Amino acid sequence: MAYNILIVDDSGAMRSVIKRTVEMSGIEVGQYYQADSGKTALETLEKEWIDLVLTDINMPEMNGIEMIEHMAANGLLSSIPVIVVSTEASKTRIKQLKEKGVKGYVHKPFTPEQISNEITKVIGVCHAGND
Amino acid sequence: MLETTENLIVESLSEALETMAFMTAMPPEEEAPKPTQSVLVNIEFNGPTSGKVELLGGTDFLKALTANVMGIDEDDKEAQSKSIDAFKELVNTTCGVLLPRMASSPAEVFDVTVPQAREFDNTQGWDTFVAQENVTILDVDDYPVAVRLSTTE
Repeated sequence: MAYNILIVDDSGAMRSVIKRTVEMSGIEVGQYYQADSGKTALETLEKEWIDLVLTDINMPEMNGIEMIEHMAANGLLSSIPVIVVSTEASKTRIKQLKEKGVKGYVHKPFTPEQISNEITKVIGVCHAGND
Repeated sequence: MLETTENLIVESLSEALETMAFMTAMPPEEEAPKPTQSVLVNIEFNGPTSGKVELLGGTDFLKALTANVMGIDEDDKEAQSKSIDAFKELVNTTCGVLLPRMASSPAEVFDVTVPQAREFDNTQGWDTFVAQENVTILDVDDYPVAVRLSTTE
């Protein structure tokens, strides 16, 4: 199965790095989508079929937490797994993110292995949940 | 206290550079020529301790950083067009490495701002910044980069 992945980060350079990392991981990707804020990500989620969201937290206009809360409140979007890729390191805040439904977390700066391991783990968990 | 603060920010920047861009920060052996065009980026944090991290680098360093971060050639047009973007990400990541080291507990929460950038098209920007207190100049793969951490309790 090929996965449609949405990468959300206000840094175009970081979106390119994450995309390249996913490409190197060997995960089969159908289509990549990119958004530079939570707001544009939600617009993409309304229009396109997305299987996995990789998102930053600290972004202008609408941050990642607000985007995750919008997704959680929307029946269809709430089932899409979200992995946070962020500099956030507080255990309190990571716990809060998981309580909001976030499936995985990667701390910046990350290695390619950390991204691919987390995606594999989350996709595997989601498969197990859907079986 | 001053030495500890300086060590913290230098170690955090070094880790961010090595992991993100495979670049190494060293104390300069000799004074490198100051960049004529430079960019200052900063990010502020608020929590148990509040403050600001600032980085200043020349445009040549920014191109090299962007090329390394993105895995592209320095002559690639994206190395130019996304250079400020990559530099903002470096200060964001440096702050992300720094804050857990400043925290007294992993549970402590900090709020951080979105990184801001300011461009200088002459050496005055560099001279003014490095003349301030608590500025450390590092040699990053032969490019001078200045860093400063300011804190308020």
